[in-house]
Amino acid sequence: MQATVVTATLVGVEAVPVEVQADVSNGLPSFSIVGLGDAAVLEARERVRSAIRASGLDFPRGRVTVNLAPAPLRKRGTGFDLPIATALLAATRQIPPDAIAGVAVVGELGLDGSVRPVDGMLAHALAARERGLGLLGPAAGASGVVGLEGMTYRAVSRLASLRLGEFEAVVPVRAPPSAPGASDVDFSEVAGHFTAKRALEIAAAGGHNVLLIGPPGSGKTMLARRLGSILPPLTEDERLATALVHSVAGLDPRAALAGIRPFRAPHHSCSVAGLAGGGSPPRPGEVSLAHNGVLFLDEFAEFSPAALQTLRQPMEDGSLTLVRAESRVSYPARFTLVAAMNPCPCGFAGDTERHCTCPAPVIARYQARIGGPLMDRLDISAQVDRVDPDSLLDAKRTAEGSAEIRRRVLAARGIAVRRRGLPNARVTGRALLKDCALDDRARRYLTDAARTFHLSGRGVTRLLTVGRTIADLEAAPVVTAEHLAEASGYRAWEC
Amino acid sequence: MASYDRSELHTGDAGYPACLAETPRPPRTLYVAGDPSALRLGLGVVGSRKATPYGLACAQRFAGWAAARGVTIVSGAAYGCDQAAQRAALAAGGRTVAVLGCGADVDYPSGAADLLDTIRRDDAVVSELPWGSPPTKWAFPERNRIIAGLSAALLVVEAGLPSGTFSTADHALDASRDVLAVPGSIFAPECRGANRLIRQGAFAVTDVSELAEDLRSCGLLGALPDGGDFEQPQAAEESDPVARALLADPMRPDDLARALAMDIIEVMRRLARLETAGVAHRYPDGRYGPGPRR
Repeated sequence: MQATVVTATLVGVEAVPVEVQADVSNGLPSFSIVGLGDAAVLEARERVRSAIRASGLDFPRGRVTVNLAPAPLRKRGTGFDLPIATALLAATRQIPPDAIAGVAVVGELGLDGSVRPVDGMLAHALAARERGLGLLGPAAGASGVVGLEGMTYRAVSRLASLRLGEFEAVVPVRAPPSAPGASDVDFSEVAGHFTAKRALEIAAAGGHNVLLIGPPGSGKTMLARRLGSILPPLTEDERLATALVHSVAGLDPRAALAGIRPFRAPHHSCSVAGLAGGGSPPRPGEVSLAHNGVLFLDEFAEFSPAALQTLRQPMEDGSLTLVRAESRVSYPARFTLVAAMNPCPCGFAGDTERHCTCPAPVIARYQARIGGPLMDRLDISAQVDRVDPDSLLDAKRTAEGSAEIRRRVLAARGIAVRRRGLPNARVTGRALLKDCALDDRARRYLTDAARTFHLSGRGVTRLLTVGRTIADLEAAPVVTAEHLAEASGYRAWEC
Repeated sequence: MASYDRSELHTGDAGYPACLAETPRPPRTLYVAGDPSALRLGLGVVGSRKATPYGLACAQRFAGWAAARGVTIVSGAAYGCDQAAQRAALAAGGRTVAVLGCGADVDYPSGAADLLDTIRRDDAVVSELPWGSPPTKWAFPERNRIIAGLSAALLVVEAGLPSGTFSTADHALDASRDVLAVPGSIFAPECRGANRLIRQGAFAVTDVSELAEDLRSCGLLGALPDGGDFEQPQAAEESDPVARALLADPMRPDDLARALAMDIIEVMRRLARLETAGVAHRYPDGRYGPGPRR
């Protein structure tokens, strides 16, 4: 007696189809699973046996063999529990064949026969939809999946419901697509910090990476946290891509599906694998969880140099490839980096009130920890200073709210996207120069600036790309000397 | 690695610099890397290690001007003002002597290795510590005594509070040498030390004609032949309120915007304009202020 059930295993953010073939034959009672499963897959034997019994069904007597095809592909995770149980029940004719017709099956089982969610439900759903199948899976944790267009989702919360072919309706929990960045913080709460706020506005509009430098307690973290409140919402494609990574990592994908850009803020003790992804089985790191959103690295210079340098590939390619002995996995990782750091180890270099105790070479070494190649990828550097109490009280009345800033950001991003279909930060080289349409005066300013500030080729590019965004914020078709002049105020720090 | 002469001068030797012998505590032995005849009375120029462009500009301007007129510039090769002064002296084709707080053959600070090599080749690097001595904390205040002793006048270009330049100034007074200081904004912490020296009786130096006067009075400079040697590279009268504000007192863009009740965007744009025009400079701490004209 044989039966086959379709399921999938996760490779990166993709669910790769796997067939679960069950064979029940006469012989000494045994239960073996073949087909390169990891420890979690082999443990499925105990869960499946108990769950079937607890559900009032019969565990087949005799020789039970389960094969996971294609056999050479390594299978991971607990999502095979439900497909294996289903295949066994189908092979022994305990469930109606139409219960599993036209669906892929995924889910973990409890010993009591309950069906539990697994990581990557969204990936499983997408894989099933791509092959024209529905998905049969747990009722809990499926809310992010059922809102998918053209998706049939059959939800079960207990294995026993399969026998009767009873499926539960799952209400799609999906926030309205146009929900603005539901953020509980707002720029109206930030007094002073004009330069830094302007820098973040430009960063949000153009998708530029930002470095905030300032003494401890000056408000770098506070400012960075509010960046989320002025970012444009995720586009339809971005929503799915971001939600997919979150789903695979076991996070709730609903915020991303609702269009809210992720904001990830790993601690500076974060390991290389934590930041870039890795482990066995491989999991996406913080750079991937920040896909299409913001990666905020506070105390930038305190991150291990190895961790920092792993940022370079994703910042260049928008994805990160983990190459291991037995696997090669790619995770998407296109994020806006917001880095914050103190100017020196003690934090008070350049502070007008506190005395900095660091010798000059120590300051230079501290700032050099970031390294040129990474520094080159930070389009905007902005100084964040402690706001004096006067201005705190003074500016309370006038501080502009996030909604107002966001309106300008959206307009500017709209202009950029209409021009190239990309945010400005991703337009480079000849295309960028063409987009800037510099006049003679702007050209002259650019050569002056390059000479005065000793700009490298990449420095000039940064000036242009930031200048383009500043022009977009004014809806100006060409980039003028004024725009470039402002952009040069955000150039990298020299020590 | 350039090759250079090494010599040791003892108190009482013929070659031992007379100006140093008359100080209260002359070093018993001077280890000289380079040309011992370079050790004659000069102008000491010292200032902060963490100098602002303002301090660097002052060091360059005054040291360069004096060196071009045959005055030896004496300093400590430290980061910031010291190095700026000594490099400016070399660039002006003048002579300069570096006094170290380690062996005269040791490259310290390491960032000054090229500068020290040049000085050893053309002029002299000197120390009272034996060859190869590593730098130690206590050696530097003592080294300041030698800088003061080799200086007919000591010019403090920029000093905060507290500052090591005070020890040099004290030694200069002990050796009855003149102390000169360049004043700065009363709001800038980097200028507090120099301003205090002036308060305590140092001569304020605000342009090269004043420096020339002081150098003449201590005998470093004869009468100047042309008398009109004081071309002022000062900026023409600035009409831009942003420029005027920050030339008076280095400020951050945020503070400028608030003080002038201007939009931050407008301030940023004007600052960049002033920077490319060479009027304003961004300091390492994010403030904008005066500095060397480019």
